Amino acid sequence: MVSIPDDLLARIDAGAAERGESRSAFLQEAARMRLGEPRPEVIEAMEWVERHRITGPGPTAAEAVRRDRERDDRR
Amino acid sequence: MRLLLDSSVWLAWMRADDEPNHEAATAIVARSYTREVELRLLDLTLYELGNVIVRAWQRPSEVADGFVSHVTTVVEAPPLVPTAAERRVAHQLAERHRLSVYDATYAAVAKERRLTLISGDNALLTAGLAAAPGDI
Repeated sequence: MVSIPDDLLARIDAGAAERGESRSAFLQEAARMRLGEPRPEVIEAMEWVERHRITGPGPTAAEAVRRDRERDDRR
Repeated sequence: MRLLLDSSVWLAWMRADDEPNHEAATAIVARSYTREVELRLLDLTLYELGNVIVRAWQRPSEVADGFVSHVTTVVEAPPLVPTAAERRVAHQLAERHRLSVYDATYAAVAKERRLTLISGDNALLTAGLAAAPGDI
């Protein structure tokens, strides 16, 4: 049996709703976080980015985003 | 710690050359491996990532698609959609700080949802509405 105060339960439900998760999934994830359980999908993503990273000349990320937004603004 | 990364940070992770925020952006993503940080993004970020990779950096659509797919995996929550109240705050911030509504929307969502906004964009950093990737 797990006892959770009503106000905390309300915050849990709000957090779960924000993430589009069930209360159960939210609590499981919170437990994994507290236990420091690693996320292998992050390593997989980092390895993919390492293989496909952008090299060579071109605008920096911030410059590229700025130019892209300004291009949209001119429409 | 819950961080809202704007497009410039995600793209700095992807861009290795001449990118001042590459190492800091990579370090932030790496910290999500051990759940030291929780990462969030806005719905509009996904479009901006695709735009920059395909149009500005002229990479194949498969690269944009793969990157967006991995970003959404790294971020455990669905992309955040600004509410009407957050859009109202965004308009106020845009007016007050002379920001684009794009920039102000990031700031408004971060403010309203108590997220720390991380950006490489000078306009947001100068307005004091975001922290630089290296500051985390």
